[in-house]
Amino acid sequence: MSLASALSTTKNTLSNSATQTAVLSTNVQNVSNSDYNRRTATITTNAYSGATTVAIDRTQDSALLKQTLMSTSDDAGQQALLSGLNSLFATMGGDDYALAPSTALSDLRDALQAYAATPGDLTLASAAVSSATDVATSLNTATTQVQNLRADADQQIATSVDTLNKLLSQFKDANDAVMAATAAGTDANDALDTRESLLKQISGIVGVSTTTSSGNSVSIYTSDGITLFETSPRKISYDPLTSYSAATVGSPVYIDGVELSAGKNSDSTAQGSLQGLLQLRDEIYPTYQDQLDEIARGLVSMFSETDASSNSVPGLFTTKDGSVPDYDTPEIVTGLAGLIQVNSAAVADPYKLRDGSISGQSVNDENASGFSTLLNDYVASFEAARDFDPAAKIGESASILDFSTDSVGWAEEYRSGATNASETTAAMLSRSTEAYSNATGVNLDEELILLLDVEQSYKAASKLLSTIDEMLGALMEAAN
Amino acid sequence: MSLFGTMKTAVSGMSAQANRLGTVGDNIANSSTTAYKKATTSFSSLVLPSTAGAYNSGGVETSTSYSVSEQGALEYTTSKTDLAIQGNGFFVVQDTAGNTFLTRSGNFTKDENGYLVNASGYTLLGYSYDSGTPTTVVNSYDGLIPINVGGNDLSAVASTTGSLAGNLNSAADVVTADFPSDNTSSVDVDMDSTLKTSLTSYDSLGNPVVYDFYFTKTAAGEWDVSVYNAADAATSGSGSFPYASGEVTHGTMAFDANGKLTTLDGAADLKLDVNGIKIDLSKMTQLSAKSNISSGSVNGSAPSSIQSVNITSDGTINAVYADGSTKPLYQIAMATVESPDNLEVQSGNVYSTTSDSGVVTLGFAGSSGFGKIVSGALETSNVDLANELTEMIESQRSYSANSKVFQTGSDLMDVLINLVR
Repeated sequence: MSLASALSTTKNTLSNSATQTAVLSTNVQNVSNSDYNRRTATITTNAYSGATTVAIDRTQDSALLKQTLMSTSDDAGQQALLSGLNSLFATMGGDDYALAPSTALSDLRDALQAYAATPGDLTLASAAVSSATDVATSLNTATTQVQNLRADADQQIATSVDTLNKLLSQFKDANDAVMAATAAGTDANDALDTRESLLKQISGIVGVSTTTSSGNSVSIYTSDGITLFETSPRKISYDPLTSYSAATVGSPVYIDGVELSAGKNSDSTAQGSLQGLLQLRDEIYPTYQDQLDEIARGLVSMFSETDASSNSVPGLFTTKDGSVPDYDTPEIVTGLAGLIQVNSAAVADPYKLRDGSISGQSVNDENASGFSTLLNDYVASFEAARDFDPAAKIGESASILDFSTDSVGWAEEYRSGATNASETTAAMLSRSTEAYSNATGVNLDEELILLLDVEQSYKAASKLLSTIDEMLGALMEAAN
Repeated sequence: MSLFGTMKTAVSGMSAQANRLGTVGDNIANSSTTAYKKATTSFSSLVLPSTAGAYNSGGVETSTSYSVSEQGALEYTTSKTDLAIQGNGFFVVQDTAGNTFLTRSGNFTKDENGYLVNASGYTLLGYSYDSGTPTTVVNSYDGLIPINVGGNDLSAVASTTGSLAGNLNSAADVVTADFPSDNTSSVDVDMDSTLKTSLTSYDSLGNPVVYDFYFTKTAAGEWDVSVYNAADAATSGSGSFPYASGEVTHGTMAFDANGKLTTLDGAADLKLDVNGIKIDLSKMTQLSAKSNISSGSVNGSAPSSIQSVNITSDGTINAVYADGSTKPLYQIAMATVESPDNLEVQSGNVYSTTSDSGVVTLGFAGSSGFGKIVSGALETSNVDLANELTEMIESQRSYSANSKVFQTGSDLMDVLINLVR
């Protein structure tokens, strides 16, 4: 080995140390970047050329990544559900449920009770009718708010679908960049970081599982197995609706032509925010609406009167559009809660409530001002068991007061279940993110220790360089 | 007579040392020239006939040889088109006039026309992959063309093979009506009894064609697979059904008691032909687990232009396209001769064959008798500075000694001439 080749080896050592320092400084630069995986620069001898070069490896941990993606999806689904349930809770008026129909209903019962004690008192009669108006208004408002919540969820689904389509097209670019760099043998690590960060974002919208195929290409499937990305992104289609009524059925989300299922239960099976939002829009809000409709149907039925031909007709409560719902069959009348109102005849003459003559035949045959039989019947009917549609998920038989309280209880139980579950998923997410970051992230102490190592080898190489230089100098002097 | 002879001998000695100094100078000057091979001066004595009592001093003859076969150390660079030969052999290059030469100087760069040209202006030659894997003509330069990595052309590769791997749930309910093959909108894709997946393939023009695969359980241990072109999928309504045109292909998969796919359409060949693309289904299983596709892939690529080239150790130049696929373009030719040290050295670090060196033999890097090509490295010159400087000092001393001989001869002549005064 000649001095010249010793020089060139030294040169190589210096350049390798410089590359290692560059890698270490990139690591240090990204110490707080959660989408950055630590690079290691190791000196290796190329098997076929014999060159001593620096190989830059990106730390990967596929098992932990899979776990992180899964807990991201779980948490995103659960948080979307919880935030929707909190909005529903807000429409009920907060902790004392001041705006819930159950509160208005018990007020109505109290007003009727007071009126029944003094059936001739116009003030009390007016108060009872006005309480009834409050009940109708509360049902109307609740319906509007629930449908607004559905429209909001619909809007969020549309936004998520747009984002997902965008992320998938970015994923194609990142995936192509990884494949090109892998094929060309250049540094694919930055593209891999980008691809992984996109994958994390996608997993927040919909649950994913991935497979790596030839050329370092990645295919993404949803947790149900629907193809999201395979060489090219698949289309996610959705027709958003601008307004919702109780009868509106939201359009489904199609991924690659397959309908995305909604999440189930308060400890939601939703993987990603889309399934959580679908669960809110298609299951929770409609069920609450069904319960409101059943309360409305129960009210119409309770206060129905009898007309001249002994037919049952709606009395105190009727509908805004004048339609007569089938209020006696225990079956949900969709949208009734939004239509219910107090008969204008009762507002004009509150005594008609006492006589049962709002739209029917008066039962106060003697036209006595102290007639309280009907009013007492009304008050008693608040506590009497009625038949309800089991589809409203409260039970087949309950008094209207119990039913309305149970409706609040149902929403509240759902919300507390979701709150508990969201604490678990959030903890799981932070734990798995932390574990992943510990395994693949940058540890400043470690980087600085490695930096010292590199510094030593750089110093040694420069010492070698000056020694060889001195030796050549000695030779030159000899040639003088 | 013999005094003059001594002076002439001294002159021949001085000119021999001057020659030697010349090669040393050349070597030092070219000590950083890529793949420069050092020149060595060797001496041989020249004897004149002498008679008894009268010695006729002779002289010294020099001949210059080049250590062409001696390998120089490899120096690593960051350019992929810098090539070095590790072992025997030469690159075949041509000058602008089309004359062919051999060289080991591999500092090639892409010129404005896409040709690989080295620092001395010689263009690298190789065999093209246009008509299949190249073969050499052993003893001539026939078939060699300048290597062009211009990369303006687009290339698309049509799909021919693919595979799908996954599980079909053996516990899934049997579908009794509305099969995907019926192509009606009432097909229920529940991702368990009816599983959908899709694969992207490319046609011969490089258009992406997405095929939708539906696996439907039709009986215990039996699944149907229906394939549709996703471009025909319904754009409105629920899901992809009905497709505008019928299914592309259809197959019946039968699984054995261990959940292994045994036959496809009654045959043991488990490849489904989708418009000429053979999709291998042999990795599909039927176990009691959720229906799922674990991986799927199809070969082929969309039209893309050359992103970069890479050069393998056997000298194959591969084009790397934007989508990561590679395609061999050329294979670099290698040549060798029986006696490399007898090659005629020409300017620009190139050699041409002579009758002494023997005829040229062509082949590829890595095959027998040839070294490997290292991409991203250059062969340094095999000059050792210390060696040259030592030789220079030795030569200098030797020259002085010769001049002393000359001077002594001249002094003696002086004495002789003064005798006649």
